[in-house]
Amino acid sequence: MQKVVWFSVILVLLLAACAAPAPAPVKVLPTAVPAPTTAGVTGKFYWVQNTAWHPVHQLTQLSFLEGCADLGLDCQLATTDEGSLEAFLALADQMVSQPDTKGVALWAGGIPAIVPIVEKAKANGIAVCLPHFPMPEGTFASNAVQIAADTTKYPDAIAQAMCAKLKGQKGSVAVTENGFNVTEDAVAKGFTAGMAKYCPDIVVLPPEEEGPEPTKAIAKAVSIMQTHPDLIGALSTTGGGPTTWAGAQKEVGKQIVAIGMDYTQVNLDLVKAGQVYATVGQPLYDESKGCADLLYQMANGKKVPYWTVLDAPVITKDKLQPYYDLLTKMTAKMRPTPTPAP
Amino acid sequence: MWPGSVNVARPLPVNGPTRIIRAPEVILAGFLLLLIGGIYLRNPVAVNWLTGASILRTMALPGLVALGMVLLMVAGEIDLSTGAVISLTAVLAAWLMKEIGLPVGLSFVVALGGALLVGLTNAGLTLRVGINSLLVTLAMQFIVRGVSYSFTQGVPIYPLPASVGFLGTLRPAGLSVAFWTLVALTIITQVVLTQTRWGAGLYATGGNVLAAQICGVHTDRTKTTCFVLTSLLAGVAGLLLMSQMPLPSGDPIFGRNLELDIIVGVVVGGVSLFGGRGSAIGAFLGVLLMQVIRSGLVIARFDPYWQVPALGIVLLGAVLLDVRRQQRTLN
Repeated sequence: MQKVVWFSVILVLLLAACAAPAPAPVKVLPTAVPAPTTAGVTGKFYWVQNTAWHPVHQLTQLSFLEGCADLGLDCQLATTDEGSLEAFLALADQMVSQPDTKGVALWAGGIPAIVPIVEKAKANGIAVCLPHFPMPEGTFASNAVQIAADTTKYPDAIAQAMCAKLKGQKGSVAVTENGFNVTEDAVAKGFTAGMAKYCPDIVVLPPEEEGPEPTKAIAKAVSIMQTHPDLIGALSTTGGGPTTWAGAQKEVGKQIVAIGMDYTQVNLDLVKAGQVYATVGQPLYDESKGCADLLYQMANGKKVPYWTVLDAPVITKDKLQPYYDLLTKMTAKMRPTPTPAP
Repeated sequence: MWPGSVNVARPLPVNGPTRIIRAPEVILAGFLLLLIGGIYLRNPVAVNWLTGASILRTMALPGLVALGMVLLMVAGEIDLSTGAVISLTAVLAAWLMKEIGLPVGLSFVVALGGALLVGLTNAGLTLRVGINSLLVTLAMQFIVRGVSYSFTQGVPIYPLPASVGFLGTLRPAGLSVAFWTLVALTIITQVVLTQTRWGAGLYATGGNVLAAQICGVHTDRTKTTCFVLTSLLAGVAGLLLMSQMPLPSGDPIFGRNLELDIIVGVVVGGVSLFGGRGSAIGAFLGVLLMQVIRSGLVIARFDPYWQVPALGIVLLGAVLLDVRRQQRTLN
């Protein structure tokens, strides 16, 4: 019995060590003396992010590195697999303290907790780019710029698309969020305002939290559908939303007009299969790649506007192909390709 | 009760009807009915068979794992790695199907083998090395979750053969395969706990391990079985979860934080945190109660911000009751 137990322990540890081949090296190895890049900037640029394993985050990392490669910048990923705010802040602080750092992109979630880090970066002459989570101008020191879709505007387009699809119908529309946070709250608020403008006969319900775990999220969506028999549509402000609402429709056996977020493979396939109406293409690729460009410009002393506003289109069935193409390009770098048998 | 077994946590003898009324399962069932009544008063339209069936289908997966957790907690141990094992089996099975090309059935069996190994490892480290099961299974949670991410690089393994979703689409009597499996296993577990020598030995192990050993119970073997069963049930839940997804995939996010929900349900169901007390029916009702609260708060249109604290309040109430029962028993 004892042998079996020890054998199991060793096997599990081996399994952990050998679960998959090491991913393709994407980080640039540190060099003793920073070499001037082809772009003429000496120093390093970092992409700082927590929950690094997340597929959406991986996409942003690769997009940033692609932008760096195009410009000939010396870039590195400074990421952690932890999801905590503390881990992110510690990492960001370390990166702006490096003597050879020229610029950092902080995937900060729109939190004011990074204010002192941005100030420290300014004191050290480091440019800061804040992708994805827009914050009002003046929140941070003048060395910080942001690149993101406007969360007060693109929800209006979502509402327009939803109203066009629900034309002539009456009933209610649900809103679910991964967790109540600044960005998702803003999207929910903008969507509600848009719905009131374009289809005032439809009632938008107060946002509910669906969370990241699919079984719990689907259960919550099912409860919403049961509570509101007149439910005709739903917006989820998170990437798991299409699965959540497709699952809930399958459970209840009723079709509604559901819209979710992000162009992941599963989400695009759910749109293609007609299980959800659309997914919103948050500009993950463009904002991450764009951060490299903004940092490059600032490091060269150029003045750039505080906010580079990007579009977040509603991706319906007829607009899927460019996103499939983008995913094919990016996921090839994310997942290690199995070695073919000799 | 098995002759010679010891169960210090059993309540003092009281007469028949009083004992039935005071049974945690009966109190829980009463509370459940009151709750459903309250939800009905707030929103009568939403309280119907469709809602009930949906709640029963949703509670099936945590309920399956909860049955293993009952055995483990009655034996005086705990397992925090179940949520990660749910993810591991789904990811491992998906990986074997997609990357290695194994048939669906064989992939499921191998994935369950992985779950079994995790259970054996938990048992080995807890019982042979002597580390507290809370710490062992917490560490195992990180390791196993990390393995899942490593297999997938964080990206769900997808698409999978259509037959993977077959079980998930079946709706026997309007419910799900997972739910009927849960019902069958709850009955079997309850019978094993109350009508067999092994069940009596389990209560004795959790009640007083030394006394149980003196009485001839192989406590380590009993606990090892519980660890393995818990992991296996988590593995089964992972495979069923994968099957139920709108587009079946092996997603490393499956089961995230689910272990805490399961433990909450089991404790609410009257299973003692101190070991030696609990029942499969209680755990079933506890998990059901938690799901009714989760869904009920939405149905009854309570403020979304108050839904999570409400679960915390119920857990706190259940733990306070458990502590009070334990103190009464010791006195």
